[in-house]
Amino acid sequence: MNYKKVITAILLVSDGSVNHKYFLENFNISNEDLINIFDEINNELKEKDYGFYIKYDAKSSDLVTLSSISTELAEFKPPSVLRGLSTPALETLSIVAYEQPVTKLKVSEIRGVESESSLKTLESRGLIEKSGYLDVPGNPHLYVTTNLFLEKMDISSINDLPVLGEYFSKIEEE
Amino acid sequence: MELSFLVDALKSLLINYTSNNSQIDESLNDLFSSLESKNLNNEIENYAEFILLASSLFELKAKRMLPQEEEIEWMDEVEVLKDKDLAFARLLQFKAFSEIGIALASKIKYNENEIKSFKYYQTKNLFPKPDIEYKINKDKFNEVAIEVFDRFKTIEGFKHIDKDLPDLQKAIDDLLQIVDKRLNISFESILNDVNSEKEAIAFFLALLEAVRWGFVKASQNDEGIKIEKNYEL
Repeated sequence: MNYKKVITAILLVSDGSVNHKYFLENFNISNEDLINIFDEINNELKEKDYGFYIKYDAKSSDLVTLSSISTELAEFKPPSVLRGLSTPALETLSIVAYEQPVTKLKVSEIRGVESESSLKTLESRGLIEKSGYLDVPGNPHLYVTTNLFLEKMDISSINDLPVLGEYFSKIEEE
Repeated sequence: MELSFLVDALKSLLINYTSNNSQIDESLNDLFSSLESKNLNNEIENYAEFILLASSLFELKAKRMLPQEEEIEWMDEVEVLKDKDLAFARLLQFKAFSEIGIALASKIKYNENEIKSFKYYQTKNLFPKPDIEYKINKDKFNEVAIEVFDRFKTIEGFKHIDKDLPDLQKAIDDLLQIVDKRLNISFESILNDVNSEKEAIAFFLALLEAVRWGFVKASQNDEGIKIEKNYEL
């Protein structure tokens, strides 16, 4: 089977990133082989100067455009998930990301202000979602970040988020 | 040298120490007046040492190095400090998340320079999900869907559904008639005479109903289900 042909086609039409497991099970190849195929395809695309490549991590892969031509793609770009997000909403997003699963009350407590509207905005953008209830009187909803958030952050798990201290060491260096 | 009066005065200072200045003054006055009342000309050096010792102890006590009665207030002070620290920590935490929010946004903005081939799931989360969640058994759903479509294709549509169901009342009447005619009949022997699976199911349901209402008695052993009329009724 011509793996390169099939893999690129699958990545083009798939609904989201494709888990490596799918290729390994259906093509009966090893993980190492799969990565080699990805690299091979990427090298060919680079040689022929195409504007996209296969982006992969330890778990999944997808076709993406090169960041170097993002300006030229401005008119074709989908709206940014950040469009219209206020600073309070970003604060709320960072609190949910690092404190998850977290209740609305806890978010409001950290921010010192009511945070319902920020949470609803983030939820409508698909960056956070409700995930179960806290087992206390009133059973408040627990909020967690979504797969879309992970994808936008270019990480495969919440554990890959930078350690809090890293943000501030960078600021000090600057 | 008689030191007892000095020791008493010192004890008074150390043990009965309070934060009340007038009491301290009073105790000190007592100590010094006791000293003055004595003729200390010859032993001034000894007493001087004693005063030095007393004042040192007093100073140590003043620095909270000796037991004191101010513990509760001290703890209150610690609580206040804790509250202040907590408030400060909260402020730092809030400031930190504020900065991190901006850092996350920068990272997302940077990553959005690479556009993925368009996918449905990128938009499906744009609407809030309802709070009510209902899980569907896909296999069962599929089974019912196939059944519905199969029947829909037939000319009669759904009209024949009633015909497929066994008539339970008729089955009960038939069962009771058989039991009346033959003593000690087994369920298996009844099944030998039925013409279809549906009829067999109807008889089984009829048996359960008949037992429930007390018309018959049924017992199961290795040989099968033995049925007999309930004469106790």
